[in-house]
Amino acid sequence: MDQPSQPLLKMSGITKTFLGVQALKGVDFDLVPGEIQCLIGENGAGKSTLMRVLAGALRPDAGTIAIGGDSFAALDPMLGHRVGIGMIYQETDLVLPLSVADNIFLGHEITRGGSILRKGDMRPVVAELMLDLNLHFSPDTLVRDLGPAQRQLVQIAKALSRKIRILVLDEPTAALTDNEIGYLFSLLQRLKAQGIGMVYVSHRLNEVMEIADRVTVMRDGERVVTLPIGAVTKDGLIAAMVGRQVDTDARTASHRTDKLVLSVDNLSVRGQFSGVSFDLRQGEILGLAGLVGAGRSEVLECLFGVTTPDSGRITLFGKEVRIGSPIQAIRLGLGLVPEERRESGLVLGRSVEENIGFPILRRLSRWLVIQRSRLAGVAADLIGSLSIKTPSARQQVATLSGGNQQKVVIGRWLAANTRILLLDEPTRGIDVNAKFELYQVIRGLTAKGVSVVMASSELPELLALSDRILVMAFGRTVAELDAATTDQVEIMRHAVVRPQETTAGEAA
Amino acid sequence: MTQSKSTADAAKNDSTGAITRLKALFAGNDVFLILIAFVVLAAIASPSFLTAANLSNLLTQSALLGILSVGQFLVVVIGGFDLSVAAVMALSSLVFAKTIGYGFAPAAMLAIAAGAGCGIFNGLVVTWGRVQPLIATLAMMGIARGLALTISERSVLVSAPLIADLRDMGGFLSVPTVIWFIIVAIAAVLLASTRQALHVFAIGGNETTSRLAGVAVEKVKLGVFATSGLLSGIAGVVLVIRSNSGVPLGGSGWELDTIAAIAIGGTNLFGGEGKLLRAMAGVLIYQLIANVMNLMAVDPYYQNIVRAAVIICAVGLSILRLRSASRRAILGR
Repeated sequence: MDQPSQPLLKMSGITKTFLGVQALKGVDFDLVPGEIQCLIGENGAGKSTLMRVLAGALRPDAGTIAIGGDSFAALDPMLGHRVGIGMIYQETDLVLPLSVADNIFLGHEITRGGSILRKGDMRPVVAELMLDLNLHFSPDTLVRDLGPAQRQLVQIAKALSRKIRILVLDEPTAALTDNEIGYLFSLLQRLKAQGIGMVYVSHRLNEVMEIADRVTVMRDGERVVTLPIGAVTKDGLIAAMVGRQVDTDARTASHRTDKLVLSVDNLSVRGQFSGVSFDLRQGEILGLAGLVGAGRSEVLECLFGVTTPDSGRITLFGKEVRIGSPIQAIRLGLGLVPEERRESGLVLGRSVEENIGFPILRRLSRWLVIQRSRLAGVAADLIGSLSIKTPSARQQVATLSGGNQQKVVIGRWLAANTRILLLDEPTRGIDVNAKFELYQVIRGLTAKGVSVVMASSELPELLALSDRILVMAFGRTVAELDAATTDQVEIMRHAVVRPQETTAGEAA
Repeated sequence: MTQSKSTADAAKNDSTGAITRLKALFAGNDVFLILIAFVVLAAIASPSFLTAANLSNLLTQSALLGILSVGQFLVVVIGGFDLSVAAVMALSSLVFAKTIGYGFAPAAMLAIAAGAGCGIFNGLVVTWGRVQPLIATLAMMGIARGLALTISERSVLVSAPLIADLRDMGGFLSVPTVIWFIIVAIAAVLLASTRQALHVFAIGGNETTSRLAGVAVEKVKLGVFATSGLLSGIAGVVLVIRSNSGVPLGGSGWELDTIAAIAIGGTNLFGGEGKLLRAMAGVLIYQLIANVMNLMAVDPYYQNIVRAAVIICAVGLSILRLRSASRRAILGR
């Protein structure tokens, strides 16, 4: 492993399927000592899944992982640590009620006789790691009391506290300021000098261009290309990430009118997004583009009253409104179809008709008793008009396919006379045919005067359905594009740039 | 960056000054303060409360619940509940009472082994069987109580002289109290110093993270349930020492009392957090209320209501504290 030609890591033919969806389709990946290889791709391209397989957090269905001289069909977390893989996960991978020091040494504490903790021996190691990362607080601080950036840096310290040969960083800079990113990058250069191989998963092309030795692009669960950094340009990378060309026939007729229904002015929620402004007209579909963490879902949740804005104005049908809760939002004619439909969109154990009637049960009830016949009537209408494929209106929602479940959620809002529909990733986890049916349903709604705000990571979908596309990056709106004239490359170019981005390395 | 923020924090702290410091003191030690407050109130309410005899009696009454609560504490911290603690104690008390003819030590060992066996069974059902702790230990509660009643439907009187000696031994601190204190002392030391104890808190705080860090989650869980069973076994022996008999219906309802007591003691019932000594203070508060109400001859039915109110207040207080802590973290960003 001392010769650079000898790969440190070689993953071959890695395949992984989740609930019938192929997340990884025979991916090959290799890493040499002392290199920083960036792994990029759109949301859902399979980057995180591949890295979870490497860390032993997921078991691949097929393929081999060769590290140094050893070959494995699958790793588990303990084995992963033993062969020297350090993993910094995208989401917080810390025990919140424990101290920083306890978190850093969790799972590999220094002990006497395998049991008694030798805190005196661990302390200096923790102190040194924290100094390396410019963390100036007590190692006894509880992680719960830290902010997101500090937590992220503690996760990095935790990974570095072990003997590692390979370090995987999954979106490590999402919560960090430029200054902190500078520290991180100089640290990565030092690790590189020690011969540690690093995989750096990121959406941020500026960072990629700055630190990568090689870049691997993934798309739809496959590796598209691996190139040395000297051979790539930002535009070339964006084109490789996007890949598919838009099917122009998919674009459908617009039902947009001139009547203004919703106007959002300078809306901000601290820590989530700031200064978001847009207008929505009757019958219009406004697409929200952006990468994971750009703040799209958060804007939709704020409009639906899940969070309250810290500043800004919302004007609905010509009247300024405060939306303090989802109940109020529903009364005002808004409906949200959340990203996690199984978790927060449906009551899975209940029937199709009950799910459809959910927000209007009060209206369908006399005294406290639901009038089943009226509920059935409402449900039957919507099952017909949305062509929801279900054996009966009494069928349990859990047994329907993803596309039909999504139609049930949409149908519910139609039953409640929703005027503005907020869709968050409406076609995630839905197969191709069902997607096109959903497109027709959404388009059909606009013909009836419903307006739609739709966040989606599928650029072809946004381009095909939207009238206009608002691009978000790092909690801000960075561009407003006409869907008829823009393309995927232009959208991505806006989405990957931090507004007023300074080169992070300069801060170090 | 970090430094400038910390100076800003310091300035903020000064401005809110004394109130913050008072709150911090209270937040850190509320359980002990409540205990002291209750002692003062009790002394005022009943002149017979602050007598050596009554206090000694209070500790002895707390000992059994206290021993069971140590085990319950461990299980709750790892993110579960052990509903079998009281029933296992009853079973173990009968095993002890029935076998004491073979000698005190062998009988005690057998009784404690029976308790540990029940705990190991709980642990295996939870880890191998992937059954939720609440259900697994509910089943064990039925099994242990059923076995106890099969051994004897009535209490089994023990006539061994050694038991009588142990019962009369000790001055202010009775034998059950001393055993409870020793267990708490050992547990407190182990909790503060061992890797396994740290893992109990880690698993309760975030099981996925612990697993990914290479913590042997299943082994630790098994160990915790086994320990709880072992402590129930010891409690069974202590029950015989205290009451001179093995009691098949002993401690009925106590499984919930242990949960209430450690909740009063600030243990987070969702797991991951708690301090053993505070949990034990919770046990004392719980018993103290009963003790005072008995001294004042309060109607037992009212006693239940008062106790319930205290539980709600204490748990509500600890939830409030947690919420303000997490709000601080968000604003600290």
